[in-house]
Amino acid sequence: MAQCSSGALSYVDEDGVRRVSLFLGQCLFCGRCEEICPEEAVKLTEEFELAYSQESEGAYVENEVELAQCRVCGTPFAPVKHLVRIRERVLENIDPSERESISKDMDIYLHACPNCRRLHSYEWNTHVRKRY
Amino acid sequence: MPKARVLSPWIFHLHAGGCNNCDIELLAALSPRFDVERFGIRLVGSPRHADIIVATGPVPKQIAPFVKRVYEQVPEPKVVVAVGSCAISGGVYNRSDGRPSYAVLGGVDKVIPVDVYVPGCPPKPEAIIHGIVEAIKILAEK
Repeated sequence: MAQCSSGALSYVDEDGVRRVSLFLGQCLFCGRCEEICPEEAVKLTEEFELAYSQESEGAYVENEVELAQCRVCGTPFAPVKHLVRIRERVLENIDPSERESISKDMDIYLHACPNCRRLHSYEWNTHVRKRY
Repeated sequence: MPKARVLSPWIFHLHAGGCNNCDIELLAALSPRFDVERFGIRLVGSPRHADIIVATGPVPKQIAPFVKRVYEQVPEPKVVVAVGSCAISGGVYNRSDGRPSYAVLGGVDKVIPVDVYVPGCPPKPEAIIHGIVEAIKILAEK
């Protein structure tokens, strides 16, 4: 989202769903989003018949992703896929000797929102300090 | 609506600020490679002869009154096509928070009513032709 130089990409979180939209009237078709997307979710096409006469018909390209709810306070905070991906990537890149204990910690804190994580980190014993 | 004006709409190219890229693409659409002139779509030098206004650029505040004057000079019925991201929302002339910069109004539709929007930076000549085709459809209904 921050990588979009023209500010055409935006999102809103509502009803437990993140709605991502791309306003074509602002887009530069630079392909930056396609280039940096780790999930390869964005793809530029050869489609050119984009002309529209009302904003409601074709001015926006939209997508929805489901948000995971915090297991403590219940507020939606991050896309479900994002959490799965974070877990995979952390376990992939971490030192193998730490892998098991980190994995256990992640079971506890990954499904809590950042605020609840901060409040409960000592209580759950998932604070990073315990490793030093 | 006289049939001749739908079958052979003349377009007036209104340059309102902008970086000239959309204008080059528009001229590419008119010149031999794509050649819309064979369908009777001609570029005219005076707004008084035109049926369709093709506007490009983010409309700087200095240009805004002239854009309005050109629009008023075109005889009814008329259709306005906004070509390029700048003509729709301000495009690259916007600040990082998405609002237009202090010098531009950010879009042709802030000054005159726009019927067809053609997104792209710049739009392909094919996209501009598609926009003009949509404009002709609207012109036929007017």
